[in-house]
Amino acid sequence: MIATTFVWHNLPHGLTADKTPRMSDAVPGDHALVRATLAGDDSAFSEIIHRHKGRVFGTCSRFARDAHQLDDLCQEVFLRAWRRLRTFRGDAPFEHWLARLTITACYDFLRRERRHRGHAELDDSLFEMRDTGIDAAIAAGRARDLLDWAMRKLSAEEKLVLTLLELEERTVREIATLTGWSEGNVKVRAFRARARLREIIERSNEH
Amino acid sequence: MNTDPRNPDDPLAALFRAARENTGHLDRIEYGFETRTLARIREERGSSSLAWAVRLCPFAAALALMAGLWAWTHWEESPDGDSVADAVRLAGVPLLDYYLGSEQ
Repeated sequence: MIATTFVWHNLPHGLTADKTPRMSDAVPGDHALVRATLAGDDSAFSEIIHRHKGRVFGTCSRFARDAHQLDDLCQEVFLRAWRRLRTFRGDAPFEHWLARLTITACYDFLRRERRHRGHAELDDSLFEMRDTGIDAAIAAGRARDLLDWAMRKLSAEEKLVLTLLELEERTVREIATLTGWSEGNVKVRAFRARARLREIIERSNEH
Repeated sequence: MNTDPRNPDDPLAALFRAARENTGHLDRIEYGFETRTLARIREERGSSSLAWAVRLCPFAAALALMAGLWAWTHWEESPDGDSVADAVRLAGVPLLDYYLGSEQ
């Protein structure tokens, strides 16, 4: 019988899937890492973070405005994952479970932001984008700034659905799964959000 | 503006497309992320133990109070308790006389 034991947490982090698989290179799956974390192994959770942080950072960067906020938001995602790890049943890939947690954390972040900001004036750094048209913003390489400025006027739901649909390029079905909304609801919210965004940008150009 | 959101000529679609390409570099931000997150987890684990201790405080106080009451009632009833009370009472008389200046 071939021995399949390994010391997974001593493996280099740069191990990639395209390496030729050998028994000695066996890397534990996410489920094994979850079990190890639940048994009290912190290094197993460190490995989970290492594997999935790229995707979490990618999604969260669509919502956070600066590096500090982004770091906080991503830490919040992994903290929530750690707290709720016992609720991971293992009948679906871990990354799907984590993606749902990420979206929930981002949605809560947007709502919190909205509540704290209220109807107060926007940041000075974004205020100059008011009079910039779409074409001019794209030409100046400031499409993201204009979009940030306009999207900050949307509700948390509107911003979430547009970000997932247009920036993350997820399908309606994926968004429905991630948010728990029905597909029809996602479509309606996306339609209204686009109309509102268009109106905000058009109105800013009229001034 | 064009009203079809999926039309490639739609200015809004062009804006989204341009914003998608501008993702920025995350490598520098990701540096040391695992360490920072695990530190927060350990901190939370520690504070959750403290939270348990705080939650147990009222029970501990109630237990101490009950023990004190039990000791008080049993001390009053016991013969040893009476003798201690008598001793205090007797010892108190010369002291009181001394302060009042009364002579015997």
